[in-house]
Amino acid sequence: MAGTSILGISAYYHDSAAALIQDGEIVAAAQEERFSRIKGDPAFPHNAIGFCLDEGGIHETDVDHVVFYEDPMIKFERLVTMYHVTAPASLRSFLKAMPLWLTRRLWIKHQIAREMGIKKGVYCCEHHLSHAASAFFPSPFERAAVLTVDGVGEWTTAAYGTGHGNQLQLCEKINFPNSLGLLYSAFTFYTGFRVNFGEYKLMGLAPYGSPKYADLIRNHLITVREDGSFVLNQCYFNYIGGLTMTNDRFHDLFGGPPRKPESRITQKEMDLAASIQAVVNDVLFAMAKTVHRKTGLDNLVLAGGVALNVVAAGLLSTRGPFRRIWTQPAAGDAGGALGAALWMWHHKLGHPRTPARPDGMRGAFLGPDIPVSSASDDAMLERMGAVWEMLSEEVLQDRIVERVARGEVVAVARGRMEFGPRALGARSILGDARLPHMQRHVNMKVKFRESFRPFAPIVLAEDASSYFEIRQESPYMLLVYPVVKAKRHKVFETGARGLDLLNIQHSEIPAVTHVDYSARVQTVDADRNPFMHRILCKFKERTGCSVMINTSFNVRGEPIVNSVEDAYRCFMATNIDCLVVGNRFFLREAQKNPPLSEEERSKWLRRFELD
Amino acid sequence: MTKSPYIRRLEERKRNDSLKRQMVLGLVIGWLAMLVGAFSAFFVPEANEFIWKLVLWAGMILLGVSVVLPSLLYYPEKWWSYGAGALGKLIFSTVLLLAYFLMFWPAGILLRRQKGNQGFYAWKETIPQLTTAWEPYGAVEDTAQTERGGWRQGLLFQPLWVLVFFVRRGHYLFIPVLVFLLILGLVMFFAQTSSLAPFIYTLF
Repeated sequence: MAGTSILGISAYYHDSAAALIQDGEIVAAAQEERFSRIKGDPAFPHNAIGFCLDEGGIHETDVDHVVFYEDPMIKFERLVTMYHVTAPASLRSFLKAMPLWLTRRLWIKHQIAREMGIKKGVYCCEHHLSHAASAFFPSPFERAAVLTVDGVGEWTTAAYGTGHGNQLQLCEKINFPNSLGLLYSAFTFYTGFRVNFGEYKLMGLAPYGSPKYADLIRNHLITVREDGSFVLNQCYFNYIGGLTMTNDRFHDLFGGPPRKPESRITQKEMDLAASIQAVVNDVLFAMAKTVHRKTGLDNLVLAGGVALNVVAAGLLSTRGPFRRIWTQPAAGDAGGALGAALWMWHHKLGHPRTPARPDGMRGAFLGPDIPVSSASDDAMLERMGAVWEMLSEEVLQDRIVERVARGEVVAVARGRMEFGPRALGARSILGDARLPHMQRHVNMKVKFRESFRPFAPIVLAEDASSYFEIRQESPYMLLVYPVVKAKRHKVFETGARGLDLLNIQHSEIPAVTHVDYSARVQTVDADRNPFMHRILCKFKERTGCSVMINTSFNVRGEPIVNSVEDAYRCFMATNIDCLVVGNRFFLREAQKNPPLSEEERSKWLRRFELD
Repeated sequence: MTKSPYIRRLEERKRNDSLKRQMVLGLVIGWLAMLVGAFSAFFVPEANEFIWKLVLWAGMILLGVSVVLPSLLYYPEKWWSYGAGALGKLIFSTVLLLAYFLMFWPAGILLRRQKGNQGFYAWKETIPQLTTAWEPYGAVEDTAQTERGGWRQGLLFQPLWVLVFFVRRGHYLFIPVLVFLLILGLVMFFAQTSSLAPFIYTLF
């Protein structure tokens, strides 16, 4: 058994997760949703804990420290204050929140001990400290400025500070209700998407619109100071004590009620998306300038939900003022579990830290493994009636490349699953980025989601600058960069607006080029992801192009596939042409199971709540 | 996927808890039926002896079942817990409702008067003109120790820690409502794990 084991837990808000570190090494980390198959599952992460303990080879009683990712006492202070100042308007919210708080969250230390069946003490690390720790400790920097921005933790909604060696110091913060994350969520709600889930859709929608509401937002909703701090005008919001994000004044300001979920997306929603994106870009940039000025450091680490706004992060990387940016791949609350554990090891227990190269996240491949071959996986697949060929790694890569180059869609479930919201090659769907119809095909026929959603390119790290105006590596798909001018197609002004822009080919790699020529780039190197690196090399040899589509292996509303069973089920329910599980290769036409009828498919899709 | 040993142990604990609840339900109701049945059959002159002896026997059988084969009470215990839980929830919500109107609301009015126009407490048409919204971070340290194994604070002391925390932060107006909520919460937290939970809920 390893020396000291620390288990970090995030739970009871959204995206529960667990992470285990042993003697300072990150051994395992996983989100509960991947096991429970409930997107953003807030339940106590028993399955994730079970996986982490197995991976560490320990019993729950062997864990030396259990650390929770936020301090419920301070959060309770915020809630009690909030309900006092908003009574009697906040009654519904009060009746909804308080039972859970009084019976569970307030006694979190005992609740965790009870759930896990242990008699140890549990430590609580503040929410933004957990985020900051998740960003700084695995980063490649000895010293770095730290910036965390999210919806809200206890009171804090944004904080900055410095990390040096094994110590982390947060200097200043912005408090609730002034929150950049909640402002963005308010627009997510208003444009008809699900709060905490639909933010990335709003981000993807922004390039279809123009920022015509940006001034309205700046004049009425938010006042940004020169130092990047800001105040929101609460006359327009309802999240203090309410059950919605916005109120009637907000709706009047933007000319009508919120869009109904699943109704048609109009130009107004696109313009709103572009406007709020422009505001977020400006605020984050102003914050970064202040952090740079006050800390005097050239490297920045980012975490918190807003750090997943890859457009703003990409602009930050392009416009400066920092030389390098490193973002925690699980920048949301799930990453808080990892941060809390690392904070305990380095900051609280004082163990020294040597920055890992290229970083300490091991490519974010920290989840459950699908080995190249396994008797239990074979037995499971046989029970499901699957038909496959077992291939050597070399032949398997050739086969994937051949199929993708032929215009087919190949899903890959192999190796350890990614920790965080992005599929980075271990649970991915691959396609040919050169084909113009691919974006619509994968959106509509494979993932059954909105046609406007862009896809990310996966590119050989050594070739990335030939395709994208890239400033630094982006192994976790967390930075957006424009496609280089040489690869762009000249687009003649046709008057096309909104979703009509999808019909125009913008570059030599149209399936991964957004309508504003941007792309959420993932660079692949041979150290962190040798399997995918080899595939891209072979694809380049065959086609001359070292870019593919990489999207998460799931359908709309479904968590990314975790097990062999999830992978095969998703493969059979969608129009994916080929599946790779370990070193097994599955062809759709070779399967004995009949394809799902439309009715069966609709029934299967209904299992997942729309995001 | 094969089940993790941790999950197997968790399921085992849940099964044991369920069995414990079935036994407690059988024992409590069995004893009650036996006592009431025996008392009425033998000491109340005008009672229907046959019926009360039936109750007495039913109680004795229930006691026997609870000890020998408690899993027979799986469904009765589930229904009982469900009903008691629903009733408890209703009562809990009613108590919270009263606390909200009788304690939160008046204290909130006082608080808003006390704090005046400070950002969080009163909103005006115009945004307050601050030079900066950054504030010193001032982390609040968890008081638990961090030695190997950790120090487990007693649950009964937890409400005290919460109160001390609020007093230190100067929230004197919140104290009455906090005392009320914390006692209520602690009872409910105990009730959740206790085998007597369904009885506590119904008595609540």
